[in-house]
Amino acid sequence: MVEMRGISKKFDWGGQESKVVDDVSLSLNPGDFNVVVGPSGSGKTTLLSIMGLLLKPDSGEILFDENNVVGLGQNDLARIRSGKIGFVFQEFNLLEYLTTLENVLLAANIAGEKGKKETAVKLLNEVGLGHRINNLANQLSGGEKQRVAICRALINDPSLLLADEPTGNLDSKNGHEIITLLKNLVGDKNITSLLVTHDQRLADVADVLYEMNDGRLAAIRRKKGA
Amino acid sequence: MLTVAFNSIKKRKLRYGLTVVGVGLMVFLFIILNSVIDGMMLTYVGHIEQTSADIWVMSEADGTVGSFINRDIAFDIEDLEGVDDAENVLEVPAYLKKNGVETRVIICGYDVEGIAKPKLYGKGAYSHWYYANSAVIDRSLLLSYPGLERGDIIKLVGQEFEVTGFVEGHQMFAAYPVVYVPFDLVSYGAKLGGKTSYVLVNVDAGHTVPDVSAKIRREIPGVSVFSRQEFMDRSLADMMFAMYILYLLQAVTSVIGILIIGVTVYTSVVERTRDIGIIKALGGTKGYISRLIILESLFISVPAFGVGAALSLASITIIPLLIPIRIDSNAAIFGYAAALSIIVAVGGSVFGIRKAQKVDPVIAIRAV
Amino acid sequence: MRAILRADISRKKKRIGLSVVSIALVITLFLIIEALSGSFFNSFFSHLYNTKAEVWVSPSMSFSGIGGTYTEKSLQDDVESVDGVASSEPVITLPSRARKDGIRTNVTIVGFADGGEYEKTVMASGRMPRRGNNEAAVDESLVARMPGLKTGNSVVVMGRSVKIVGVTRGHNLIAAPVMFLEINKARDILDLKSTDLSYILVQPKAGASGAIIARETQKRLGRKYRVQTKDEVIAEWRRQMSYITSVLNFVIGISFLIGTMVIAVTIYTSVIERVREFGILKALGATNWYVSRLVILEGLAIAVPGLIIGCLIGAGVALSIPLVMPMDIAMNAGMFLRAALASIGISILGSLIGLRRAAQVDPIIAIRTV
Repeated sequence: MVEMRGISKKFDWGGQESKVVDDVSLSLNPGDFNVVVGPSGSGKTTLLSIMGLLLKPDSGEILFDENNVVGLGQNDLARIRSGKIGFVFQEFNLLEYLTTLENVLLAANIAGEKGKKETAVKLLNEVGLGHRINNLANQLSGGEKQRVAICRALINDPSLLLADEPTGNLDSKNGHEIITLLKNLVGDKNITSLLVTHDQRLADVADVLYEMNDGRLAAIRRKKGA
Repeated sequence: MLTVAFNSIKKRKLRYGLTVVGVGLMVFLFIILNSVIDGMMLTYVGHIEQTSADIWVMSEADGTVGSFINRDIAFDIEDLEGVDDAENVLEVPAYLKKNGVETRVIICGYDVEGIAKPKLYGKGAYSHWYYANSAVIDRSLLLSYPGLERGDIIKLVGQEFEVTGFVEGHQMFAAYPVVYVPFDLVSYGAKLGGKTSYVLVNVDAGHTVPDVSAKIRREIPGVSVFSRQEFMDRSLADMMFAMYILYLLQAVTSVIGILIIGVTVYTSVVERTRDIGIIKALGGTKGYISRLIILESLFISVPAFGVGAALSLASITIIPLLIPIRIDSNAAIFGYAAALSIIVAVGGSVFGIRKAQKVDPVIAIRAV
Repeated sequence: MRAILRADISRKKKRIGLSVVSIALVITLFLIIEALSGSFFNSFFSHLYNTKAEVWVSPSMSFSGIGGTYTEKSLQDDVESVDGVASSEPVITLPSRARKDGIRTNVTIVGFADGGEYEKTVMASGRMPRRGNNEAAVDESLVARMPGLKTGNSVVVMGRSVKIVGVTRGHNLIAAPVMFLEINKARDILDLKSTDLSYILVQPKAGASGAIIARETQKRLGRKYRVQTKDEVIAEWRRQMSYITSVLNFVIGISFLIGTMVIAVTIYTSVIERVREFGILKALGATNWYVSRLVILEGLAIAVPGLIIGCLIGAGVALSIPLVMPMDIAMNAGMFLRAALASIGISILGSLIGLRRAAQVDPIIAIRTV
């Protein structure tokens, strides 16, 4: 269970202050496919960054299993990121000179987890990349790269999966595949998730859909049972 | 072009700064090592150089310390045709005592009527009387006796002497300061009656040094005769090994300097592949690009020379105040250092130029 | 992690290569200087080390060994009357010049007493000169300066021809090879009085302490004389030459600084290039320590090969010095250990700036597009 309470964040752009996230509260349940939509500049990426402990909020609390993590030191935050959070980026952010398998295992290595090779291979097979595990990342297509990134995000059994415009750099076909993949994985593994997007298709399959406008969040729709 | 090169440096201030310091240190080392070598050379030949004598006559042991000849030889030499003047000089290692501190010095017993006395530093005077207890000392002795002044009393060869003046830059064997005392008093105090270390000979106008030297060799047995230049060369030959080692060290540090510039310039080229590609696409020739890179190198080595020169000047002033070593620098050394900086700049840019030549403008511009 | 490092280095082969060579040169310089310093004193003062006498008596007026002679007939009796003294002998030590076939070179003349300790000098060939003849034994280091010199040849000293009857081993004094003459012959050639001498060398009885004898003898003889143990004499000479060590240490210090700059530039550049990569790693949860290790390893990847190459070249150069100069060079494990420590030190110091920059990388970079 991951919760945000009263989160606010201001940015200073050339002397002018702007409240990018304004008093946002949010409660995420495991297994739900949570999606945030909103126009450019609405603050959704900033919100995601705060939830992913990459940005420190000006005020508010973030609770992981009832524990507030805002205010923890850099190293503690890093450990939570490696152990409890899986991140999928718009730009994929693989290390191009590592192989597919090595990229997935990198996350395990960072978290200090050993003996994850089997798990990594299993995940890669699940996403249909079993035959590409020894290829260098720069030899993969965009869709393949994002699938590797998803495996990397899941290798450490995170309690929270975050995705920032996961289909933003993909063509229509690949984008569709990634959306299906993500939704199935979130449901099967019962992970808490939050995805941020412009992509209407993601919004359509969301269990809980939020809209962000001028830094404020509102839930538009909840699916049955959500 | 200047703007492009300069801009590249502005963007990487820290790295640029580190490279300048690194090369500056290399320049510094170069200047200091050369100055030390020069200083060492001077301690071996400086006192010969400064003395105006044309010919030096000494023992068959070539005047090594502790070997003497009969002082009356000077009279015999003076009688020879072509000799204008002959004077005796005695060199004796001794201990100087003052305030309970003992230091090693070389006493130089001079002829009070002679002319072979070095220039004084500031005010002061040599004695004009044979038995005057006056001593002129090298300023490096102030390291051991700070506050020593004219009028102070020091003890040498069992007698007391009054300090009547100072000279600068008179050290022998690279470290022992020289103290000038009237000949007869050293002779007496060191129990060297009837002996002298050297006879300095001046040649008459109208006669040549080789002629007079030959005459002395013929008429006076049991001595070595050197012209001023020969004596300096012989003295220098004794320390050649030290110079070889220092030159070796210099060569190695110069190569390091080339490499350090090479690394920085090469890296900068790699970072600016796109820029270089654009320049080429716009028609920049290989020569243009090379000049650009050399310019960047010079932007490193010129300030580096400044850094090195500044450090050197500071050290040259400070070091002799701390250890009794003779460091002698002159404009020529700084000139060579400047030339070295330029060579290192050009040499170091070779790596970068070769890399830049290989940049394909098409590929480079496409690079994200 | 190994994979990251391997890939990183192979991308930057040339730069890393240049840095490795720089470090190798710094280590080479270090080893050459260390070898020189170590052997310097041995080569220059091997005569002192090899002389068997425990205690040296000389006049306090002149420096030991540079041109001091004095005369005191009863001095030897006074010395031998000190408790614990087994024997004493007079010695003359004076610098001079030897000539042969137009080559002139410095020698240190040692005039030794008939029947004294010097007769047991270790010879490379031949024998020590005997009393009454125009004979000399020279140290083998003279051969370097006068090629072709061997027993049976003659050299000229102070205008007198002297026949070489033996060659000794390990007798150098301030870079001038020693020439042994029987003491009366030495006095004769050097134009000294029959009672002149430079030192009295003292041998203690078996079990007696050299230091104690030195003190007693000093008390007995008073302030006109300087009585020292062999170690004290050597230490005094070393002190005189210490300015040379200062210069060499100075050179080492500066070159280490230069080496540090080289690594600093290379590592810092590398970190700058990898800022985005480090950002991604941190976003994935890597701690600063994780990222720092990558930087430090890169530093070591330069320092370690540099050390190895530097040791090979340095040892090679140092050991070839005796081919061109009259010096004995010996290297020991300690030098290489110090070189290794220096290498690691340079690597760590040089990486500091890069480490700081890496620590400053904000993981939010992973989100921001380039």
